Amino acid sequence: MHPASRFLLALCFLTAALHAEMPFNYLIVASGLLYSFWVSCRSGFNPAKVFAKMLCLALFMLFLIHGLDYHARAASMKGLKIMGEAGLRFASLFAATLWLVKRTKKEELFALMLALKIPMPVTVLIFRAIWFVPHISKRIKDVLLAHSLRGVKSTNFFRRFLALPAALYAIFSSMLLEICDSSVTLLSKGIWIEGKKSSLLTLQWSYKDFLAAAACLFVFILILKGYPFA
Amino acid sequence: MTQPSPGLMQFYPAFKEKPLKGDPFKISFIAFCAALNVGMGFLVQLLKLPIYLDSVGTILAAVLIGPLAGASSGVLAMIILSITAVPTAIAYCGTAVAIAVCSSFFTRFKFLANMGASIFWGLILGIIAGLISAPVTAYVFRGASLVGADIFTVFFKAEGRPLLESVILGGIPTDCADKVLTSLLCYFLLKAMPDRIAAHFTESRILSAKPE
Repeated sequence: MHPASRFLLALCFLTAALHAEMPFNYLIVASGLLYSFWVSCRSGFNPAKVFAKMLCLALFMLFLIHGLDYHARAASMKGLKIMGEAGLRFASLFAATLWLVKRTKKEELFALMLALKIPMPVTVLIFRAIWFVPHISKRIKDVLLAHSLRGVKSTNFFRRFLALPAALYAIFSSMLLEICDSSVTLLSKGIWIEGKKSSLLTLQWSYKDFLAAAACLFVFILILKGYPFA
Repeated sequence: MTQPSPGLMQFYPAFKEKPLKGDPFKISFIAFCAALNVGMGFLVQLLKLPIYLDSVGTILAAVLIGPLAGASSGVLAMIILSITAVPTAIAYCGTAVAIAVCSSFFTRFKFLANMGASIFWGLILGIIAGLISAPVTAYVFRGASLVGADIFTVFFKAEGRPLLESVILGGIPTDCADKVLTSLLCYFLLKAMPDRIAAHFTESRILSAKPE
């Protein structure tokens, strides 16, 4: 499937989930959430565990903020309804993002950005940042390990707090070399040279995209007509 | 990238800068700053600290290159955070842009030039960030921002205050503490930055940004 169709489907899911009437919205979000957790990962990056943890945290915080009446020391029905509505927003956003992340490869995203004629420096900036993230994470682990081996203690809060500037400075200074290397790489790739850019992957439309577009159109018409959506 | 309007340029000439034109080092640096914002979350998680420090990169890029660079770095970090950890982070792009614009503007008033100024302007940044992110937290996510400030929101809401007020009262102190620490970290990083690297940034900006 074309990545643009995936984005359209995710948008369609979000719109349907946020506009549907009471039992339908929960059904749509629950099925979307289950599907996004169940679907296989094509991209090689699966944040399902982190997302599940954050979603549970969000629901717990919403319960504490709205679900309890602290004066009556009981659950508040009105608050639980607000919690349900907000929980739906969180869950639909988490489901749509998880599905997009699991199903869209980086090469597809790059090819899509080229097809959309997004300026090359912007595209490169995004992909460089994505490239830097695992490098920084690895460097952070290395630096903290080096600090602990050299006797920097992190036994209590104050010591851990003092360890922060030292660790950050080591990470920053060690990454400066990689920034220089990265800039040389960018220069050698000729991102400022005018003309059409190519990507390894050629995006193609298939019958699945046609079906996705038709399904989205059907849902949007249902939303406009108001049945079964509000 | 879209060009800012001439009126905006007149108001603030730093918008004339085009960080994505010409210098590959600047592009790499902005990308690094975005990744640093994301990586800081990992670092504070490993050190088990109750802060988030997710604007170190935004402030560095804004102070060293300009508001557009800072905003790009902040928005990019929010996008990466939303696809890797918290999908709701994308809603706080406005806060990242505001932090970038304000911190770039504050360099005219000695922001990051010395410790005292860093603390003072860090406090102001915290208030601005707290005020901008509060309506998003209150109206879009009904009070749950998924950071430490939520505990304070619960406390103030339990006292019977309205949701927006609870979010503001909970968010401003945590944001102020976070931005003061972030500013201090940026101050130390700039102070330790080698001259060879500092030479990559425009003369006027590095003179106002580099701590004495």
